[in-house]
Amino acid sequence: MNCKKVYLHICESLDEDLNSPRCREIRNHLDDCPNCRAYLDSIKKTITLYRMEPAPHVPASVHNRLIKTIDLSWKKGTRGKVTPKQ
Amino acid sequence: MHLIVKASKNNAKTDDQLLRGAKEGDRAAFSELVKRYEDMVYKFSFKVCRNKDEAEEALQDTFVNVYKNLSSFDGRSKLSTWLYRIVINNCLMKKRRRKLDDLMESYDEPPAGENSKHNARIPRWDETPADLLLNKEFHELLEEAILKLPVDYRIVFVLRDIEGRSTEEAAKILGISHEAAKSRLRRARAFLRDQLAPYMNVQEEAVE
Ligand SMILES: [Zn+2]
Repeated sequence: MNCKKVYLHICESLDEDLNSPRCREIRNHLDDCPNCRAYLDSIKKTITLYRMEPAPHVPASVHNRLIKTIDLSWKKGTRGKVTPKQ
Repeated sequence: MHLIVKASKNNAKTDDQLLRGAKEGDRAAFSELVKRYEDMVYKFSFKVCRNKDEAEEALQDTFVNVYKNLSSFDGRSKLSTWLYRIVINNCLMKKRRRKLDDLMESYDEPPAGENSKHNARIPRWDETPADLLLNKEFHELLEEAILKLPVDYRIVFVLRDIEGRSTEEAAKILGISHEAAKSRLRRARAFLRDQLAPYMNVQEEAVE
């Protein structure tokens, strides 16, 4: 296992089964390689930063507008009549 | 009175039951679905678009489309998968998509010098995320970095790392292979990490 292989797998393996042979191999490499260790750490931190960023809830005004729009569609009865390919 | 009873009944229904109701013309059932999923759709749109107006537009478009396409949802995929797919089709694909695959491919290489252990120096990031997030300038930096990320990559990153979906579901939502989703995720993470790196309060770790 070299750094390049670890690098390519590092990110995918963040929450893979830690006892899989590949993960064990990576862990062994990480034990001996401060560079890969620091790199993995910085990737994890990057993810944590974006995960911790606050996310907005739907504001009441937006919710009300949405309900109005849906009511309009409902009245027009367009349900099921337009089926663009998803 | 009658309406209240109906609403509380809907409360206890499963998504499938509500979908069936909505297909048969039960407006209250559809409203309940909206209530259940509007936050998910809005947050996801916001995290990808990084803009409240665009997120609102995406929210409206998505549920109008859900309504129009109720009959085509066969229940074989998860409702959330279907919703994410509609959000992406409706609004996010309107965004100008840059052909940046070439650029992103460079993120398949480890940082320079990493293969030659002896001259490699990867700085350590010492500040904790919580401390960093208190800093307004750092928020702007996060914003800029993720906006630079091509939208196809951003979507995978948001689905997997922010929303906590599996890469398999992300692949289904985007209609790409699992391998492709994993590769986009890896590149997206490396890209963002590199964008933030120069601004992190770093401490060089000596390599023996
Ligand atoms: Zn290494």
